[in-house]
Amino acid sequence: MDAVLPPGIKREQFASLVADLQKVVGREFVFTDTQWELPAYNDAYLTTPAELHQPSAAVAPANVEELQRVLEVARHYKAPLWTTSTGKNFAYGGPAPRKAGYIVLDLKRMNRILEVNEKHGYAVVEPGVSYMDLYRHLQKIGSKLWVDCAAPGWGGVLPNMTEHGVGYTPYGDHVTMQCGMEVMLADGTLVQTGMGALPGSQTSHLYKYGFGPSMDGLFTQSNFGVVTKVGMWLMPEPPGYRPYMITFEKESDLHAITEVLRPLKVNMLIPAVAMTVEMLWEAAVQVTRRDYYTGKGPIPDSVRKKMRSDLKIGAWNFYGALYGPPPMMDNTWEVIRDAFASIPGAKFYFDEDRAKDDVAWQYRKKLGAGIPNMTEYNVMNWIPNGAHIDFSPISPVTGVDATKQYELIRDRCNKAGFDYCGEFAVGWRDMHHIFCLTFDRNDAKEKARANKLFGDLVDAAAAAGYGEYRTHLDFMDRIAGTYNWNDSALLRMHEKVKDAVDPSGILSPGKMGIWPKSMRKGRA
Amino acid sequence: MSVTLSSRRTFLQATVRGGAALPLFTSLGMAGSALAGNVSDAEHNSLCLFEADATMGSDMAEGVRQLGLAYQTVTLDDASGWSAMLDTLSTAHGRALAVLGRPATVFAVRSLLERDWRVVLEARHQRQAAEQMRHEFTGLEAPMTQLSGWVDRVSDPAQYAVVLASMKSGEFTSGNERKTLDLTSPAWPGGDFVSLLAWPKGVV
Repeated sequence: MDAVLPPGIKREQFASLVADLQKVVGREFVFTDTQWELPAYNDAYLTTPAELHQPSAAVAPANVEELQRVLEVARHYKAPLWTTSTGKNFAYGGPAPRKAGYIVLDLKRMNRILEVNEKHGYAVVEPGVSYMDLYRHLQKIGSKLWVDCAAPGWGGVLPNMTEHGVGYTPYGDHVTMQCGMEVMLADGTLVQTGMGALPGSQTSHLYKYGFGPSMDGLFTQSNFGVVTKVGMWLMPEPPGYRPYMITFEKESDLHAITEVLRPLKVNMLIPAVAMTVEMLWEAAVQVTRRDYYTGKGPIPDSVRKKMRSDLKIGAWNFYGALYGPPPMMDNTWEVIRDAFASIPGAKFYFDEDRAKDDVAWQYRKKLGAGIPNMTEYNVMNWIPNGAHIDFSPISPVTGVDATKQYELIRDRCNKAGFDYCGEFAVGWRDMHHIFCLTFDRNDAKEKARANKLFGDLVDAAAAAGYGEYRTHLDFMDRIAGTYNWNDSALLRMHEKVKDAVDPSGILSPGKMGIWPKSMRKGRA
Repeated sequence: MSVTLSSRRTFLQATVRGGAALPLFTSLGMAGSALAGNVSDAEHNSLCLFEADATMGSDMAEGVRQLGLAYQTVTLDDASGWSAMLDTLSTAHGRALAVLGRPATVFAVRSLLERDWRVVLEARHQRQAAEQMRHEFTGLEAPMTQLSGWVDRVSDPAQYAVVLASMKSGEFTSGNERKTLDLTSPAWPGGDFVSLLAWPKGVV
């Protein structure tokens, strides 16, 4: 692939820009080689031409001082930077920039775990710290604190939170568990939010809101600054942990499952992010499609039935966990079991009831205890050259809405020739419906179909009153466009903030549909 | 905790030392001489990463070990296994890497390599029918040509991994043109695999 230049920057200027960046971070951490270096910053799961997201360079500062100087260089040349850290957000674009020519600001080297506070239960981390890193560190120091990790566990603690990611323990709502943030603004100013703004503060990571407006949310899913440090509350190891699984026989059981679940969640009898998982997701982490079916189009019901039987899974599979002293867990379990037993065909499993080589159970069991693993990545083995983008609308926790969303997606995806592979992550008052749109990344026609399907789903969901919580690079503008109440008042406010805090428009232009003034005409 | 990544200068210095002594490409026959104890120190510079999976062939670890090559199993399924692999990679700078496993696993490993290694060859090994395996190579022409001559002669992923880990870099330093090549062979046991060969930056 030929080299590209940042938008509005000529070749000679680019050479000078690269030289200036090299003065800041050293030659070794400015990457411009299109054959060997920059492919690391491509989106491996693109459904559109790779040229649309090809970076011109990447720069990896080691600390806030270098970052400050990188921003200075970017401001001087008006060069757009695209911030990434661990870069594993593959379902949503990975480390690739929104547009061709951006310089990737790679924060992987800022990977220090700055503090673990056992007494108060939190850790302070830089952007490059992965869940695996934090878990290993806690193990090494003998900590009794748990990580709440994403699946797969190679994702970053800080970037997953800033992308509004969720995990699987009672601390699974990562934004809620964030406390204290350090941000560098585009002009190089370093800001501590909340209590951290008080010099010598004793409570930077204990009380979220500080004094005055709470700013932290402005720096999540945004391009208003570069988050360089966060505090994350960590769950103390409970006196007991008892994960469970409930399988349901019929596709139509989704309605009843969700209705039973809501009061259990709202009343916190199910404290963790609970999962209602459709059977193909369960299958895809342990077998391949070809093991069961070699035909085109969606898998027929007869084959699905055989898979359920072989793998001892249901049409829907509910995962939760009990936490606490054994007597409390016993009492809580009675309530949960009785509630779900009202659904005919429900089967209940604890660890001792599932096989040791039951891949799906084993990794879910680990996730519920904050033990990172990569098992879910096996979904990519489902089809040859497996790749995926995730369509992620938010749903109320009602049977009607769950079924409506499921059917909306299933019918369109089957019509487009894809299998439905999805799950509902059930939070405090909502469900994140994650549809893993899996396609062959070497099949241009299939990629085009996947891209079209995704766009159709955005429109259909919006028409039904459902919005997505996160998305792939290619759909950021389209989804931002669906949040258009009162003549897109929210987007216009975002743009005012953007113009105020980043007048040069250097930070991640186009992130979540927010463009700087100079690039709004380029909105795709 | 602070993990300091190597500087490129340090890295290249290590690469020059390691690169000059990367393992020779050996045929399976030549591996026999290695078995006989004719293993140079240089061969210790190569590292084989392969997925811990029963279908990969039971003698893989043994074959690699007998060649005098270091190996590390890879698994997606547990934190300690993944961490062990990361630890091994962090100390493997300057070594050639041969990776073999199921597609998702190798993809995951590859995404960890791209800054410090160069993937000079990647192959997808797909079962076409009961009796046939399709091998799709992408990468530099020279290692591809050498390796393709062996595809018919290996009978399972384990043997293939041994051959892959034995590739010599010295012969292939000229020309970075990428090619593709499709071959077929008798079927291997197990399912679909992906393999890749990566050399340290500076070698190519």
